[in-house]
Amino acid sequence: MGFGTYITKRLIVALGLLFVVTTLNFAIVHLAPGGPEAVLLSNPRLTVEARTAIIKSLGLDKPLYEQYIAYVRGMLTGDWGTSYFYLEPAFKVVAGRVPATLLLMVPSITLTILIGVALGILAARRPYSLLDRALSSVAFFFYAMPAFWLGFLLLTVFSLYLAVLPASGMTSVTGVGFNPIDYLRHLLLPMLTLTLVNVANFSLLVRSSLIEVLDQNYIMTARGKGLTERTIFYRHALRNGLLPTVTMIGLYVGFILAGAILTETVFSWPGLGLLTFDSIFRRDYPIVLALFFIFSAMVIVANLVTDIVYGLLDPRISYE
Amino acid sequence: MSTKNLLGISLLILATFGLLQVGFAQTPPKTMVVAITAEPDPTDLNPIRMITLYWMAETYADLVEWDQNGKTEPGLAQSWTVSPDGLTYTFTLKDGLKWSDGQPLTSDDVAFNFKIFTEQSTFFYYQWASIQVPDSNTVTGFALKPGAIETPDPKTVVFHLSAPSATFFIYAGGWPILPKHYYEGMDLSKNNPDVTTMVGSGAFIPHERVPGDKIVYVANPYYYGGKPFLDQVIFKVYRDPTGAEIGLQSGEANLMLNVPAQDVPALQANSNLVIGTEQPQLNTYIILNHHPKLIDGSDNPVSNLLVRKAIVLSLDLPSILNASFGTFYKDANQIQVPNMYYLGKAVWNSTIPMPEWPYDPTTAAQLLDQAGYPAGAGGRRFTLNLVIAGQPGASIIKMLQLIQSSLKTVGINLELVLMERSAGRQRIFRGAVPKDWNMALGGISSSPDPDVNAFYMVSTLADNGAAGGFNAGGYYNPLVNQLTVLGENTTDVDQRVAIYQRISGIAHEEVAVLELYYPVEIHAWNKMYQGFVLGLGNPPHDYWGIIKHQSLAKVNIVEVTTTTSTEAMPVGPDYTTISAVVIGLVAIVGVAAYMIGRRGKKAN
Repeated sequence: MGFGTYITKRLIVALGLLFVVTTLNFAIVHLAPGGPEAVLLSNPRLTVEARTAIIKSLGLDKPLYEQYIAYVRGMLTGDWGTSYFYLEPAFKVVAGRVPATLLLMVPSITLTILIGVALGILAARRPYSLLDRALSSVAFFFYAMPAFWLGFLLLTVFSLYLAVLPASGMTSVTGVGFNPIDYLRHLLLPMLTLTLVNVANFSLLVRSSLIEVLDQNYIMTARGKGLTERTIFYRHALRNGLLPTVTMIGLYVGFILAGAILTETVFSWPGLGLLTFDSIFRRDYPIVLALFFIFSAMVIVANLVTDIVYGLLDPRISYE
Repeated sequence: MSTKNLLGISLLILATFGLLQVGFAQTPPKTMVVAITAEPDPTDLNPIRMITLYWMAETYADLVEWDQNGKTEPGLAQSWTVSPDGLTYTFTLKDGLKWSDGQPLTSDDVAFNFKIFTEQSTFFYYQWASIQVPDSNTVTGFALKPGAIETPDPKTVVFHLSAPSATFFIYAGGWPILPKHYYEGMDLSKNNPDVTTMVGSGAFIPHERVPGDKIVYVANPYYYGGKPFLDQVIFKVYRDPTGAEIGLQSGEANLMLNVPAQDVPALQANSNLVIGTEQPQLNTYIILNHHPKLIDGSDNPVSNLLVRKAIVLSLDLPSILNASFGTFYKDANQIQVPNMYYLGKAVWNSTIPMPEWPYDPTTAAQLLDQAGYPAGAGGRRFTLNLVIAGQPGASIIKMLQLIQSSLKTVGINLELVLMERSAGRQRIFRGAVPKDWNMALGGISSSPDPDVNAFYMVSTLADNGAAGGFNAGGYYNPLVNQLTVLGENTTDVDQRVAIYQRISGIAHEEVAVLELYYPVEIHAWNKMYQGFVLGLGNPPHDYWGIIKHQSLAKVNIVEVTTTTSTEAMPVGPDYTTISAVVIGLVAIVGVAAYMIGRRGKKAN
């Protein structure tokens, strides 16, 4: 089977998986206890007629299978329905939050990968040394720390006591116009929170992987040939040692949005994470389903891309 | 690490710190930032939707306003009359009223306002039943009765009712008036207005909204109460009270609404902040299930009056509440709130004792024996559950845990069932009757009329005691139902007040609900901002009176002498010190790395 055939088959499988996942999302969301009525109809002053009119206007009076068909049709045509609470197309509401999320995610992911790999390399170069132990200890410390707690800690130190960074949001509350420095100041703490919590993961993985590679026979052969440790490490060991990191990056990109929910809540960052949090509590089904669709698609696509990239990097992998 | 690299990193760090200081956007003059945490992101600024009503309190003025004591005072209307038969209400508008875009505010706007709410707002249409007729073509199924509203001249609005209505004046007078020239033709049941072009009559008008982040309101130069002192007010959404408090203390926000009671001491320690309280018309209580059986067929002890009395006698509520909320609460002893008025007369029943029930666990135990629930092994009698929907604050959790401990002393084992808000509300209110719970934590906004609490807390009218009704415990007393109907139709002030006082008395005697407390809203603000008017409430939105247009219009920024006392907020080291420390650390780490690197090279 050639590369092209492999990709085609994987794409078909990915699409099928996406369909199954979105169906499961629909089922889980609608079968979960509670519902938008519990939130929308919480005003006790509503009469029976009013409640009926509201339920009907939202299409919630239809049988579940009819709602599912409308949902699938909407997914295929790009019509994700109208938000029960925003009274705007779900696509528009979600799309409006994407830039904020990208602004937070892209630098976080980039920094996490770069710093994580660098620290892992640093630790693996001198395994079990004082530096390695120190880096591993710090990594475990941040790995074990809940993201929201770290966020509050950073807020308290940098926003409250040192008063050098803002406490919330994406821009200054009273700022006007586009100010990249203002964005950067607001981005620092949430980005630092996400990065610190996740970089530990990467650094430990890279370290373990490199140490394992350095024990291989071909490394011993290279040493026997008289190559310097530096050459052995960077030319022979590193590329193989970083292969598991590729998988990790794929998984990380897919799941980072979910992890950002807590960070966005702590810093009131108006991104998809916060929208997810609010929409779930309000049972704003169109928004919730649209977001779950996006998250599922991201994970599936990230896995697919990871598989492809892995195959390109490792010549031992064939597409049979 | 080379010396060049070390130097480069140090310079980078210094530059970053420099940018941090330079990059901060300057605050425009006369702006106040309000930190909001009690509500999630305002989803829209659609004036006919209940969800965003609280965000419009500064944008739209009412015909009539109410002061802190429930006394009416002129709003957009300078005067009003009611015909002796109670069928004709005439409002005369003030001279020279204008909308924020300079257009005149006339009686046509008032008439239009009722039309749009009646026809498009499923949340509120029923409130003016006496001027409506059924119409299948509108969203609500109602339309204005022909001739129900007359506008004989631009300053006069006349309402013709088909039947006397005790509540008409409160709802009609206290409702935000919308501009006809802006909203005419707009289907607000399907579309939201454009925030950037909104028009209002209040002190501040929305100008910009960033979803999930903030709403910017700008001063209305045509506000009938005089141009506000501030230029703009920004409502900033914080998802967590801790973040909001940090924002307040760091100066990012200037006013914080709904400070959790347990966080007040920390804010009080900051001498730059002022703490103030408001008493909204809220009532927090425990819904008691009055059905004799639960859905699984098991016995429900709470349905027995003796058990209910035993429960209330076993609780030292004043101590429990004090331990939980400090001084930030008000003891509750009846279904009506203490600041509920009907046309200026308090509805409060002063004959009901305060505290409502004495702390008497001995009598409580005797009542339980009498009810047929003797103490068994270990003193246990039976188990009850209490469902809580949502995320109650730490103070409420503490209160419930203290209640749990108190009930244990008389042999009642109380299980606290904390549920996510939507699932919990469905279980409490929409679940089938009989229910699967004995008690549930409830709360109600009593505004704007005493009929609200009477109808929704203790009546079974209009299926209010059935599945989906607010009287989820199913308390039923036919006399209460009759009195509630009578109260809705009685316009004589003294008679009406007496009716609701009697309902409160009956509910007290029969322990219809377990009254807990009337919440107090705590706000904190920077003392540079002065002029707030606290306690404005009443119809139709009784939350956050501090941000109603009458209050915000008076707020100004006053220069105050900064304090250097030991109570001041802790301030960290300055940039120079920070930079010096960081550079020093970088230098040490850099040198150490260099030394390690050199040793490594030698080893190779």
